[in-house]
Amino acid sequence: MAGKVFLQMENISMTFPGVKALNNVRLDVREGEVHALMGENGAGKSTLIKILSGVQKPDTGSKILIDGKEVSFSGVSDSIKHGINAIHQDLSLFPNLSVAENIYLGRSKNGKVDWKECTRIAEEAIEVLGIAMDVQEQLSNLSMAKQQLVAIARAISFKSRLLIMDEPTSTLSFSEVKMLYSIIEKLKKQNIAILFISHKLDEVFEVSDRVTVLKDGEYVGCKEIHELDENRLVQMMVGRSVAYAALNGESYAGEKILEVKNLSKRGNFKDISFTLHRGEILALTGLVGAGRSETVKALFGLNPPDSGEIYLHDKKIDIKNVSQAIENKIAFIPEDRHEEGLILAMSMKDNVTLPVLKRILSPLRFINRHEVDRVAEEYVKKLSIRPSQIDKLAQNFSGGNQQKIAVAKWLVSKPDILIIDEPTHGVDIASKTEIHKLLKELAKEGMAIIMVSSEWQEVFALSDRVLVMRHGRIVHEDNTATGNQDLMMEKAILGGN
Amino acid sequence: MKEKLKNKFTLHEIVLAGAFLLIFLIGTFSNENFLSLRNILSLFQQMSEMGIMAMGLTLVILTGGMDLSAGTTMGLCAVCSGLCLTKGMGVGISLLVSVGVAVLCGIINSILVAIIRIPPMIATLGTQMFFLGVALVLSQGNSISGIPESFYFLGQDKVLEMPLQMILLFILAAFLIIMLRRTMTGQHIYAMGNNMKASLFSGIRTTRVLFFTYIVCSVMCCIAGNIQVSRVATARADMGSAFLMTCISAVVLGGTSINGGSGGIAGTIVGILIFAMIGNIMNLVGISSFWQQLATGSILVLVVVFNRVIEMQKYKVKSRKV
Amino acid sequence: MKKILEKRETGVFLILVLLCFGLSLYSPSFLSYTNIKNVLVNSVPVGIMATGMTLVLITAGIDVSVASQMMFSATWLAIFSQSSPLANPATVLILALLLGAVTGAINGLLIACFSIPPIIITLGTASIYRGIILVYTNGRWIMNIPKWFTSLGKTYFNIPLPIIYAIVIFVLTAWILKHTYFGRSVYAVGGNENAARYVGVDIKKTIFLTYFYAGLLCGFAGFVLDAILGNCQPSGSNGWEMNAIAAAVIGGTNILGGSGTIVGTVIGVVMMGVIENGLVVAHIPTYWQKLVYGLIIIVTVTFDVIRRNYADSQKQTIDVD
Repeated sequence: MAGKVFLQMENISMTFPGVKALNNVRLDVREGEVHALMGENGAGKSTLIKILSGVQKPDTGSKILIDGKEVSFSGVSDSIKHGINAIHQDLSLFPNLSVAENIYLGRSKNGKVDWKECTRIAEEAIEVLGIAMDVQEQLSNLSMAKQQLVAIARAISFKSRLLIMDEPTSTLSFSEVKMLYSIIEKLKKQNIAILFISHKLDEVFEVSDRVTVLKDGEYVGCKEIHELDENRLVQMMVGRSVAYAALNGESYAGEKILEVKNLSKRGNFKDISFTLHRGEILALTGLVGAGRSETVKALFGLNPPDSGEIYLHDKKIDIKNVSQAIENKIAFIPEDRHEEGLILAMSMKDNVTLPVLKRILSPLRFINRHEVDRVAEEYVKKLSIRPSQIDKLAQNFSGGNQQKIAVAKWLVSKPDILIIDEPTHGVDIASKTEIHKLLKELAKEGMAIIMVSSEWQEVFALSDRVLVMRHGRIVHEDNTATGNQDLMMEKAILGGN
Repeated sequence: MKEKLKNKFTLHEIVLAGAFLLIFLIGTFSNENFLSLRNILSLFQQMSEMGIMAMGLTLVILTGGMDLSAGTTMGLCAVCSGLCLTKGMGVGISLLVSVGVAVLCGIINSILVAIIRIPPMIATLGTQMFFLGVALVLSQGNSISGIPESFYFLGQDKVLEMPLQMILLFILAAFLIIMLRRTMTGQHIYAMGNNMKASLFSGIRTTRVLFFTYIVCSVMCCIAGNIQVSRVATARADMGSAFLMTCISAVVLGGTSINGGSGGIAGTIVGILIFAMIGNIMNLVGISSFWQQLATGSILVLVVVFNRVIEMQKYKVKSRKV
Repeated sequence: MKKILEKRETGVFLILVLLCFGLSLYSPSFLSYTNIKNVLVNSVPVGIMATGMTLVLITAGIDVSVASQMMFSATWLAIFSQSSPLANPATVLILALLLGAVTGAINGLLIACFSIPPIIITLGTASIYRGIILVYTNGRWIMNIPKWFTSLGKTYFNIPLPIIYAIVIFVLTAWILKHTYFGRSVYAVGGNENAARYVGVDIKKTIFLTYFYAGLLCGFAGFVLDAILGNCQPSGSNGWEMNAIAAAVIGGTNILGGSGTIVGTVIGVVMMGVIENGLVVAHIPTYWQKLVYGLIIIVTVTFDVIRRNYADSQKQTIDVD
């Protein structure tokens, strides 16, 4: 069954400004096998795929061998030439063009397009998949599942020997996933190798032959699937490498402050109900794409729900936009500080005071500059932001300090409820511990905190209570200290039962 | 010393100051009348209309937007007040009608941009044509003359030897500078131009701010239009069309980023002043006004390319450092 | 058959037919050979510019310098044809394409290399190209273009030559869009730039070539304009860039990029010519035109944007079971 080795990647490293995304990672794929690539968010899967499909160039010293011969990719067309095709998560198709052209595009003879050839190639590729489809149909008229099939057809039409599928099932329904599995079987029989990226364990066990696991940009291991069971795979993915000081020895949870009842939004989340208490850190966890961020954004007016009720201090409130959320003393610190959190080209003090400007106006409605400085100085001290220059532009601070500025920005508004999305994503260990301490400190002062996190160690070390989400629903709720932590992880990855 | 200078001013500010000085010196040496009080005052008189419009555009561009309809908004407002005046309405009512039309123009632009979310360049390209059309229809394609003398004050009166519109220009500039630097709305405008998403996440009512900037811009165009009507005693639909290019060029030359988020009114005033001086010198020396068009276009292209190259270099340096 | 009915071009074409029918009832002279010929011939320069504009709009760009580029070419051609001993139909045509190539290449280089919003660049170059010819001619008209030149714009055997030129350009451009790698890249870049990069399309090259091609057509439009008019006004045809944009948009080109056809643009051009003529026939002052075109642009763009936003909102982010 195991064919000869088609692709070998050795010593793959990739350094971005400030971050080492991959460190000496290896991967080998054999002909006709389904090889799963697994790891938590930020493990380096997508970087590895980008290198493999020629979008990014790895650091020098990295080696890629195809059929035992070393190759180097200087662009997407190089990797295609070597028989490697990627189906990106966003499919990367052209909604304005026909199915046939979506499959054909990228080929030409002397700059001309041969439409007969185009139709022939497209029909052939569709036939290989064993499905029926009108290749002249415009792509935007097709369902997501059909579009996915077009992307696969496109990839195999290039006489592909290795197909990279990045989360191929994330937009498919159950029956469509079954169809995808059968297509994968067909491709295997034609000796095409498949690199399957997924964070759904059941899928991996169903289709793959071998699994390579990455964690924090490092290679963890490569195992035959029958050597593994679900627990051992989870163990490999989660690891026990970084342990944080457990801060949840004492709980400061007090009276109930927020109650959410049956919050639903089509295509986002369904029947979300939970309560939150003063001084409590509530962790909202689950896999990426489980609907956690969507849920908390609903509480902050960024993603208004279709139905459901929110009660603050036992009073029903409406949160239709951010201003209403702020008026209700809710604060939200987004995960992506660069895109959503900070105005990088503005000074630290202007960032920190941006949400509360209304409160520090002089009688003539001018901004009170002294007050701005005072507030900024206060929080520099409180959060030990370094360097302690309030006039410095936000973009000139380090990642950890930027996160602190983002936190400060919302503490200034003295919220009752603080929602924080992935509080320590992309931050070094030292800053992580500091941010953890800060959050616990805030809880002690009586703030209610909802923390969205996919890092289990963080959840276990910091939170008082855990809500586990999967497919847009809350599937499990437990007390962190007394609950079964393995069960929580299992629920997040495998769902109910 | 050099380091100190570099830290205090950006490269763009130094270049801008250099250009200003250079043109000023050329003016001084090429014609002895250039530095006369009379010429300087008339220079300010000439630049007021464009300056007021450019300040309005600055606000819009700072939010990351664009108002290509500014020129025709000016024409439309001019035609409106011209019609009212010639129909015998009072000066006050005519101005009120004109401002009302400007507010309406601003609202139309901001509905398209902020609510329907059409890219601002495209939305205002459409309204540019539409406003011109309305102005042409209202004026039946003719220029409206016979503006009553009671209206001449706006563009022809002098206070302490200084043209009224120049005083108006500086008052409006002062207002806007204070608004941008010292008020919440000003802070919000800069924040939105830098990062629309983070602004939304910070609780800024972005739609409201966009309405504010587009309406202010239209009203500024209206003021510019009325000054011109008063100065030349006629109103024409295409009055402001030629202004648009120069105004955008001046805003960009003055250091406001075409993508929004940085720059300001003071720079725009310097930008307009440079263009006004170029025009003034050409007039004094007797070079045809066609050269101005050529100069304006060249400066616009050079400045955006220059800014872009600097930006690309900065990015490169930064990624190398880390 | 069903597909043809679904297309936007079909709808616009039906409106055009209705419009013509209505006008012919109102004024029988509308359908006369002379009137139709005039409508069509006068539309040719804008039609040629709109063809180039269609490509630019499909890439999600815009070129507001087309009218200036056309006059740039027309002015030098008029001067050249009058004063050079080398002037003959062949050299004039070559020079037209050369001038268009230069102005188009400058636009293309600036936009592709520096990724500055195309509208800003072309706004600037528009006034540069126009400024150059105005400075050189001092704004004076160039009269009396030689007979051999204007004979290229005349009608022979009831067939006006400019229409032949336009048809050649339309067919050629439609062929390029449909059958060349460049043509398909234009759609790819405008439809999904990221995906275009993944399939190996050279984005910068495609954008450069698009503006270059638009420039070439403007150069040629200048040639046709001179031949039709027999004189050249360097400050003329102001605002025609908006007519070119309007024609493309009326014909179904999405100003946000990704879709559009030459057939649609041709229908759009004819439609605009008919509206203009209709206004004259119906004794409505021509200045209503701008209002109508502006409204058409605003409404169609609003429609496109709302449709796109709706499609985006329908995309499910999470599979809730």
